[in-house]
Parts: sequence; structure tokens; C-alpha cells
Amino acid sequence: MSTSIIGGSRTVGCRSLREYVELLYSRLNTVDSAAAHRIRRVVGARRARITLDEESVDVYFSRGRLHVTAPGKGPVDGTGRTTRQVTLDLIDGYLEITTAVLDGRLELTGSLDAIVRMDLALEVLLDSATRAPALQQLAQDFRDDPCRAAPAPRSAGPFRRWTPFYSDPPEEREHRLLEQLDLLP
Amino acid sequence: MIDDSLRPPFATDPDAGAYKDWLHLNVFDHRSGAVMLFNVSLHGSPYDPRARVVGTAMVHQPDTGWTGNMSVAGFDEAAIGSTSIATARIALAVDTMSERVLVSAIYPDDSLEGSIAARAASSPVAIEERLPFGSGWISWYVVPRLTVTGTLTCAGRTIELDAASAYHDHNWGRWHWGDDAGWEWGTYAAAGAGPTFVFSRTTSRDHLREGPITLFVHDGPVRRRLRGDGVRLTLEGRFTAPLRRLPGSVAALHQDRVQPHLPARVHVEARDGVDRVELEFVPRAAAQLIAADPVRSGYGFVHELVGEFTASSVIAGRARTVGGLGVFEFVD
Repeated sequence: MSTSIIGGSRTVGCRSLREYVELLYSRLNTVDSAAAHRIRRVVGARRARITLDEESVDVYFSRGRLHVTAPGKGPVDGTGRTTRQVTLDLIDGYLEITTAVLDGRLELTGSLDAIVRMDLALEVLLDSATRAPALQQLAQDFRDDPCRAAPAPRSAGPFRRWTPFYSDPPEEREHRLLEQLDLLP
Repeated sequence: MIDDSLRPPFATDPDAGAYKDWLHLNVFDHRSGAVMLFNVSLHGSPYDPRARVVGTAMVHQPDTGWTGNMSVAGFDEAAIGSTSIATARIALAVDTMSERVLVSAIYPDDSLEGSIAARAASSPVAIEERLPFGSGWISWYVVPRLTVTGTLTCAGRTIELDAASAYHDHNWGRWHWGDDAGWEWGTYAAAGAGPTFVFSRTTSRDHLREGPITLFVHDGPVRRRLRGDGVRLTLEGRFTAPLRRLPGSVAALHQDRVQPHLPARVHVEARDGVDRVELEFVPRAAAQLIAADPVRSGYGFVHELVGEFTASSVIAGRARTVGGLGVFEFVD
């Protein structure tokens, strides 16, 4: 087996949200065109707005091509809003998707159909990324982007959490029943 | 001498894409109660750019929980020797001549950094035969007990490891993550110069079909190997505390795995007419490490449960009861 140098030099530049979204799709289309096709089928003619901190873009497919534009005034079918810190916490395993949604740190709005389709498109992307070094590299570039804040230090976890979504803690009897039925969050 | 090396496939190996190989070290710090996992693994053909090197450094302390993380890199981003794998974040090397296992880990974003040297305190166990596993096979090489020197800084605390003991193994084989395969494995180290117990069996993915189980006991110069119908492993109750799941991006894909069915107690009873062991392990925390196959869409879920054990044994006519730290691994 050949031996190689660890790491090596790598230059990471500043990228906008628009550039990250365009690169995600173009790299996916290059390494796994079937997955890119599945995303196009799932999304269809729908439009979504993605907001990361203060940046927003609208995304849609037209004639098989992805378009990423500045937010328009017209309606979109769904929106997804989160922050860079939440994104990095998800990537690094410090935050579960369900927790992020229930705590309002990842907001998804739209009809049920639109939200399910956004989720499906993300699942296809994440599954393909495990076999696509170019997409894993893009995640590393996002982390190292010199124009974006370094992630806040995280020391340990996971922590038991309190979800404001469930305003009233269940009674002991109800808690036991939920536990018995394996329905506790 | 540790007579072992990584086992990369030839370029002409038709099963090179199913290649797996890893070096593993558990450290048990009996003074602080910290249980540590260090693992560097190779997944996929070295001749395929999709092949991945996965490094894991995780420490569980009773009062702070899990510290550390998993890192993923390409083969071209790693230095791979005959008995060593090094990435920018973690390196694990076996010095076969001096019988040492060396680990260096640097995860500054996750409050973990350290350098460890473990020296073999028991003779190795080599299982070179190809045990059936999923679509392929698995083999392993074990050093059940090692003494430790080194320092680890995690969650703002520095841990001197002179009171710790360790376990090392090396697994290799050919299979794809997502195959109909799993395993149950555990290692339990008593404090001081006490014994180490190690058991293992392969299973189907649903754990309803089980391969033969083997229990190794290493107590100074005494070593025993109990297997067959005389060894019974029982998993009891359900562990319900939240899991640390890594890597986070792959965990996000598997929301159905947030609360897997893991045991709240592990009980091992073994006897062969001469020696006997009864061991009970109670996990205090668990992590789920998700292995993604780099060639086909498939995932393996490696659950690491850490905690305390007690064991009563009669080995070579010597009866004793000991306690210490251990790990139970449940893979599906």
C-alpha cells in the first residue's frame, strides 16, 4: 500500500450561500447523476427559500437545471431557515435533527407535502454524500470558510433536553405509559 | 512480540471493494472512571478514490459525558504503514518489536487532545481464520491487556493515565456495511494488575442467529479460552439514555436509529467443568458510530456502551471477585 502525506496544503476561499448550494448540486450531478435525477423528480416545479443566518436564496429547477437566485417577491412552496452554528452542530453530532426542529433552531415551513419533499431531497443528498468525497470536501470547505465564524467550542454531550414544544410535563402515570409504548421523545 | 500487520488487498483482488481493516484501543482509567475509545479504520479498496479512512477518538467521563468526535478522510489524506494509520486528527500505530500501541489524537473543536503509549501486559490472541461475516469474512488479532502511560486532556480536564489499563485489537476482512451481519463483543478490565475478560460472537443483523461465543480470560500469566455451550451471554432490559451519534451528518439520515434497542445489563456466565466466570456489566452511557459503505448504499451501526462491571471467577483454582470498567459493543 502506498504511503502518502497527511493532509497536504489546501486553500479554502470565501463562498456565498448561493455558491455552496450550486456546488452541492453540481458535484452531486457529477458523481451520482442518478441521485441528482431523484432530487429533480422529488422537487418537480416547486420553489424553496433557504436562509442561513443573514443570507437567503431561492432554489428551483427549470428544464432540468438548478437555479439559485436572490430571494424574489413571489411566493415559494417551502422555506428552510437555520444558522451556521446549528449546521455545524448537526454535522458534528452535537444536535439531532428532531431536537433542532422542536427547539426552533431549524425552521421548515410550507405545506406538509412541500416539507416532506424538502426532507426527501436532503436524504438523497446525504446518502449520496457518504460515497462522494467531493461532497465531503465541500462540507470541510464550509467549516473552514475564512469569511464565516469559527464554530463555538463544544465540550461534551449529549445532554438531556427540555423542549418548549411540550409545555406541560407528562404526569407520572402518563410518563410510564409512554415509556411502556416506547413513545418518549 | 506482536506479530501482526494491516492486510490490504492486492489490486487484483476481486473483493478489494469490500476491504475493511482497523486498529483499535480502549483505555480504562480506573482512577477517574473515564473510558476511552480510539479507532482508525480503512473502508474500501485502496485503489478506489471513494475509499475512506475513519478516525474516532471518544472519551466518556462519568460527570461530563462524551468528549471527542469522528473524522473522515480519503486514503490520499492519510499515512498508512504496515502497522499504522495516521490522519490529521488521529494516529494509531503498533510497534511490534517493543509490543507497544501508540495513539495521538487532536480534536481541538471537540475539547480532546492526548498522547498515549500502551505496552502489552498479556500475550496476544490471533484468530487468523476467516470467520463468516455478512457477504464475506472477518478476522482479528487481540492483545487483551496493556499497561498505559500518557496524558489526555478532555473537556478542560487533564487525565494522567498511569493508573489505567488498556485493550487492543485489530480486525480485518471483506464485507459491506449494510450486509446481514452484526456482532456482540465486550472487554472488561479490572483495576491494578487484575484480570481482563473479553468475549465475542458474530451474529446476523437482527441478532437472532448467533455464531459461537468465545470468552477469553487473561489474569497475569494465566489465560483461558471458554467457548461453546458452556458460555451464555444474556442481554437484559433496555438502555434509554440519549446516545452520542456520529458522524452527525449520517446520523441525521437515520432518525429511526435515535433510540435503538440496547441492553441495560449484560450478563455472561461461562463454565467448562474446570474454570468458571460470572460477569455482569451495567452501561452508564452509549454512543452510536455509523459506518457508511463507500461503495454501495449501506450502513452499519456500531453501538459502544461503556460502564462498570463486576465478575466472580474461579480460574486455575483461584476464586476471586473483581470490579472495573468495560465496554459492550453491539453492531447491527
